[in-house]
Amino acid sequence: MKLESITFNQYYQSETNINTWILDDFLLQNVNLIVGKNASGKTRALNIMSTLANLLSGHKTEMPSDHSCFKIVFRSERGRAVYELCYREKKVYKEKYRIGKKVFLNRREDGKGVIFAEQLKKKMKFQVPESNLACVFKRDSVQHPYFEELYKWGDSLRHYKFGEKMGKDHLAIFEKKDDKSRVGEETVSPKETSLVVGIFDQGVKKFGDNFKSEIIKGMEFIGYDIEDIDIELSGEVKIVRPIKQTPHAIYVKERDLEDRTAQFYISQGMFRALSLIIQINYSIFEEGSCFILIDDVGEGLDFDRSSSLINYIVEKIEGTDIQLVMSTNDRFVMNTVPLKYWSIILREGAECRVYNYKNSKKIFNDFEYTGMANFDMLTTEFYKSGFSDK
Amino acid sequence: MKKLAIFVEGQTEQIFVERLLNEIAGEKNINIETEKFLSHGRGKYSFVALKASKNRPKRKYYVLIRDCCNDAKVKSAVKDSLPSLSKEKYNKVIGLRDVYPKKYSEIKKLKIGLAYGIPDNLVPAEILLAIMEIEAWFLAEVTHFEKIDNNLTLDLIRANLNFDPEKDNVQKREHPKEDLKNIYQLVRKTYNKKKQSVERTVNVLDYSIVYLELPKRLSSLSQFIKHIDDFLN
Repeated sequence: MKLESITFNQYYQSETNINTWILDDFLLQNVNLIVGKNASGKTRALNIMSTLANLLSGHKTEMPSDHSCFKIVFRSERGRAVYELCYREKKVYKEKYRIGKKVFLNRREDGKGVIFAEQLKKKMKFQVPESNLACVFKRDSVQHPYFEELYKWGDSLRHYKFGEKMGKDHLAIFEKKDDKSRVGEETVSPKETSLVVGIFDQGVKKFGDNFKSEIIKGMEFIGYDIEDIDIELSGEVKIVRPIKQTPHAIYVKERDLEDRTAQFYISQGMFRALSLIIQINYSIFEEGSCFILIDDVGEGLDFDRSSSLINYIVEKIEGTDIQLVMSTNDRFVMNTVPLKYWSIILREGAECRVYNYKNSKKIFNDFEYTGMANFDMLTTEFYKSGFSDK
Repeated sequence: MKKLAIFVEGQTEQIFVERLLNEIAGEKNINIETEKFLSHGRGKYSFVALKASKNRPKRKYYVLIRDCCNDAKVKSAVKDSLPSLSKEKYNKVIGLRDVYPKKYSEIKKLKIGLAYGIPDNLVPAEILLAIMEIEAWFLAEVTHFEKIDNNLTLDLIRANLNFDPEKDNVQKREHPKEDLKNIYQLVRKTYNKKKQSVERTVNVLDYSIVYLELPKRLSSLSQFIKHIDDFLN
């Protein structure tokens, strides 16, 4: 299932009136690069998608305390699916799910509603706690199998904040079964994006040497010449509180260095890239569908490497069931990413509008004739009206 | 002293334009400096002088030719340079790039697009197109073929390549550079981007034909020469 569009409204009560923040009908493609001025809503848009995914998968069990409404359109196997959700002060007051014209769920403020039972082939009344989503609470693969797609989509979320540490400050402790093996399989969720040491270890165990060699190739592609990567006991770490096991860290062997480098000594930019390449490859090797968000992609990398990283990711996910949404503030990165992937977010007051190939195809195609660099699409605001004002 | 800046997409255009200007204005009336695009990474760039600037006597006209090394950079380079060129009191700025790889049918849209975003409160600037490539202008100057090789006659070209550079509309040729290459190959000569190859062609063109005759056939050359004439007069 892929996200086709999202509309989000957030309401703020002041003393005198209700204010809103709106993300208006953001149409998504398979690959999306959100660009825009500072404070235009790029990170907020990603966080909104992340909140929704975590709610639908049940990873976030407590409803947020603000007052918000979502309208989401998915492309699903069963057809075009529309999910609507409104909540206020941790309570759901509207929840509706339909596929095509058929309404499968319609729930009101008091938690009461009507739901379609697949096996019984009829609609039934129900009531769920006001603080729960019906699509999570009533999840049942027999009577309500249509909720499984929503759950899987939410569960497939991977949200990477590239401008942060990406796991550089996290080590891994493995429970030893015996001296020869480590128990660690399947214990690290790839959603825990800081636990890259564990994810790498899990990936090697699950997918074999191919996994490691793809990571090395990925690093080479973006300009880091490494010949090996592995996990080892980390003697560099000072243990403040006594623990039984010694933590493990990632080590890389760069071709032009004699010794291996532990993750603490790898530059932040290089580690971010390494962490992302490990985790993206993990998702690809898993071969399922995945919804990947990357905020501030390329942050801390030089121009060539950040462009190469984005090209690498876009090429790798081609032909997979992965939907990718990235954001960047970097002018030079923007200039190298084809406009067809762009989603330009423009904030006017409390409303954010998104312009992209899906809703402004002619304008995006016409820009090619201006002979200008991609970044000028933003600076000249060509995306608003194209040539029509000339 | 009048000052003109011309931004071209590559070395071929830079060599040809420099020669054309010297022929039209006369070497004694014009100072020409050439610069080449240099990338500093992260989208930063500058233009560096190709020849060391000598102490030249002050002449009536000064032309700066900037080789942008890429058709996609001409417009951006013009736009980026306009504030500084305005400050330095340039009279005019011209960009020159090929239509190719765009198609003939896209020329109108390309002209509108290339005009977009050029500020009108700085030195006057216009991006001109060589339709479909600058090599179309070389093709049309048919007397130069026999100067490349005695055996490279128009009859030989017509017989072997199924087109007539003298009579056909060379601006409709999709890829004139390929045509020129194929013509030279008839006598086992090459035409490519290398300086030596370009200079060999540029040096044998008849500039009285280029300046006086070809503009009647080639609208894109006519436009370019009109801008040069306006500057020189």
